[in-house]
Amino acid sequence: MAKIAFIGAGSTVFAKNLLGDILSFPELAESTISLMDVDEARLNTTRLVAERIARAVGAHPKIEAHTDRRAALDGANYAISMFQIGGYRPSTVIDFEIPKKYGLRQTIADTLGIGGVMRALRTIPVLLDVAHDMEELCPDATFLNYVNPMAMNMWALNRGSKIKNVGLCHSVQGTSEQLARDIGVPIGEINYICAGINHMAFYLKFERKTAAGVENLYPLIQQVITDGRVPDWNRVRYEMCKRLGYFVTESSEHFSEYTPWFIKRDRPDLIEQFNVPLDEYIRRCEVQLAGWEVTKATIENPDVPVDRDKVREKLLAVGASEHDIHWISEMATNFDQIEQSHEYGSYIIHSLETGVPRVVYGNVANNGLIDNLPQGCTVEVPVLVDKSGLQPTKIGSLPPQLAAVMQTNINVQSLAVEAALTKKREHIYHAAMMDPHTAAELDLQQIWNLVDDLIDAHGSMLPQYH
Amino acid sequence: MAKITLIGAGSYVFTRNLCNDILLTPALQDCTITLMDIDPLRLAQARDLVQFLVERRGLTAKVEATLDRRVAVSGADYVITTFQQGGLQAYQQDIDIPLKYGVGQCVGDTLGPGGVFRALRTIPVLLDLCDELDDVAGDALLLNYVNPMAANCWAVSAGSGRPFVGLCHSVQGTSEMLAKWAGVPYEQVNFLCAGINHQSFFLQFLKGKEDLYPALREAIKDPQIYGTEPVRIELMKYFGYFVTESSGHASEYAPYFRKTAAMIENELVPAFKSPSDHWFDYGRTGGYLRHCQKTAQNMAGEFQGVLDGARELPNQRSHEYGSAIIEAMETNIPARVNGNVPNFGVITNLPEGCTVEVPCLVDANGVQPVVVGDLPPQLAALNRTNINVQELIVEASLSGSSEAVYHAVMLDPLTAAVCTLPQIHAMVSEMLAAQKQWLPQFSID
Repeated sequence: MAKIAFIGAGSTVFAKNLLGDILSFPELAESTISLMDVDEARLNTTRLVAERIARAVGAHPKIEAHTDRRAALDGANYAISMFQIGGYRPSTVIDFEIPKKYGLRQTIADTLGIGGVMRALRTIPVLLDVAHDMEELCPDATFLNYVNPMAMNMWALNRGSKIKNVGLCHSVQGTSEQLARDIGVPIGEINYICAGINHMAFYLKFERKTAAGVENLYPLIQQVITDGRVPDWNRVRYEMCKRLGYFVTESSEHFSEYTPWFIKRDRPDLIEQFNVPLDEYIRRCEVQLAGWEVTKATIENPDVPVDRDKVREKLLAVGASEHDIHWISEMATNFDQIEQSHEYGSYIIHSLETGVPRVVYGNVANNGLIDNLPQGCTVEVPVLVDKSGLQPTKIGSLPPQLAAVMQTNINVQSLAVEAALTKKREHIYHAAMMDPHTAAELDLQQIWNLVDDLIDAHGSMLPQYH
Repeated sequence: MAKITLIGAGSYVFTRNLCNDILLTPALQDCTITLMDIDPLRLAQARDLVQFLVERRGLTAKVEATLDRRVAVSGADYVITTFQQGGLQAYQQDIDIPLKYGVGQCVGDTLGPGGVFRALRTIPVLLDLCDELDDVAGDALLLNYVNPMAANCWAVSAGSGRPFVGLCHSVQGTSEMLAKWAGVPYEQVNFLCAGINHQSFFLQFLKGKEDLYPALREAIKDPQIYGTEPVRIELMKYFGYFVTESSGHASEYAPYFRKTAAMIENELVPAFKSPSDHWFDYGRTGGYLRHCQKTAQNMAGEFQGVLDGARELPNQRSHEYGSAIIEAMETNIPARVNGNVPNFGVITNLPEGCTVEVPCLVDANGVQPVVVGDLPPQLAALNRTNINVQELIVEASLSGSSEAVYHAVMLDPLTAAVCTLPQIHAMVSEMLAAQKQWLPQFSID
């Protein structure tokens, strides 16, 4: 049976979902689950959760918990990374607050922008350490990375290690489900091809088969705009669909900071018009922390019923939405109800173990997959998975306007990766200079000062640059 | 529901296997199978056979037959080609004329002068069919089984641009054989096979993560095993990898094995020890032609045997990819096949646009090749000697230049090892004249 190592297993909620997915497959129900985190308290909570889930789905895995990463990886067949280096405090707060002093406002800051660059610089050294441990302790294992910023992290992994890997996100599935709801077509009837870079892949095809032939569903998407039915939280992506002709993955709040068009210091009207949630990730982290307290209480005292009113009050105090309140309360109330999530992780392991062919959207090195994006950069494309491994399919050329928008993001990624691998400080400046949003807001001296301030503030969270 | 059309349905073996597979596929129960052939007798037999299967098993699939190709493909979702242009009469010339010049072909349907002329006869028909599909079945996927696979598919890609995939069973068949040799149940092996049709190589042959090549290198020491596949085993010894398609075929794609009649009779043929290789007569020149002639004679009997109930058809699907592809496209449940597709960045050290045989994902989005990257350089080099010939065949077919036909045969590795340039010129001239009726693309005096 496979040994599956969870690196950063203290991300209890994420680990819970993946564990439920994995252990629900009869062929994986007796796997060895090796949980690892540097935080012993959170690790123990996840171990309790893992045991509880195993009981709930009737699985009999072998569950181990380690604070020693090497022990967790030793002999593993799969390593799944889900950690966050530097955490919400201090690192994420620094990534938002210092740029704000320069008038540079962000929404999520985990993918691109100055926040995404700094997150990559904190994360890449640890990812490479994991990969190098794997080369020694489990050289044939497959590394499934969930840690952002996806594109930069995978690019660095592919340059710095030979370990088989794939980067996973749920934005392709998630967005297709959202679009299906918007156009009123069941997701099960829809067929699509999506390709590009993580968080900025586009649906090149969105269609369904009918008795009369293949129906292109883009006219129905356009109709959402024409009818004025664009959801308030999704105005940016519909605007981009109108301007580029294709719908993008991830979300409107993310996309608003990947380009220079939506957040501009002298244009508060744009924030209003496109409903751009500035500092959204800060709010989410606060909600998650409050939610975590609720979840933790349930895990530790399973017999005490959840007081939904109290949960609600607590969450509202940190700016939670109705949606947040709903899912946090649901999870706490029905903790043992396991439903297969749409995360690809368990499906990949199942296909590699059993040979059942599946298609997932994976982040992989662009070795001739998308012809009009740079060789070697990280692309998100359909990947066939079966017992022969992860096999990315050939896409060819993207529509030129889509490739061009992606190139502006890949510029930043290439320089952040270069900085992380060479430890040359100059490339951090270059990465920030090439960031479309930063470049539209600041002058060159401001950008350099901003980078200096951030490096100082992150202190020992970053390796020494020269 | 899906309309599946077979062009050249009189090909008894293919029609029997493909239709049996389709009828055994739960998701295709409501399909319409439309059979088309230019030979009324063989078409009627094919229809009777498929109709018999439907009735015998109480199925709901609809069976149609027509001599009119346009009617057959009109509104089709899948068009499967299994025809043989010129039939056995032309095939006999493909073997006999080159033999006069010392070129002894065992199969002669893929490369060599026989492969070249088979392609030249076939491509005009395929391109004409593609034009017809553009008119009356715009979205249909062409599943081509007609050889020579690589040249035919390249011509379809360059000449029409329609969606297609070229299919063969050599990858499946060879992998099954290798699993036996390695002593591993077939369900437990996995492999990466890539290259060109009939000359793809098993770049990896594994049980889980265990490399099975050491087990294969051990197995070929057994004289019994060696005697079943002497040519392919020699190729593995010297090139490092095992090739798809049989020793009879493999012996004529390279210059090493059939330089003279004496070499064939005294060295090649005696190397075969297994009675299972009768279908290409142990590598003898014309071996496969004689097998086809015999099959054609026995066909009527076999056909009647099925209708009489004396011969049962399998109740399990065969390893042909045809029904699996249609099933995956109809259900959107992914399948993996080794298909022949245009090389647009799939194998990076083979020419752009040539036909490569690579792993493909199939789902509702169609047949999607996975990127292979570089082949080991010695394998790419061997493939390229064959691709040279294929490129010139396509050039001749699309431009109508008979000059390129001469060039194609001049570049054939076997012919070049045997003949001088004037001999090759004379041979090609003789073949062009003999097969004029099937070669409308050339203005031949």
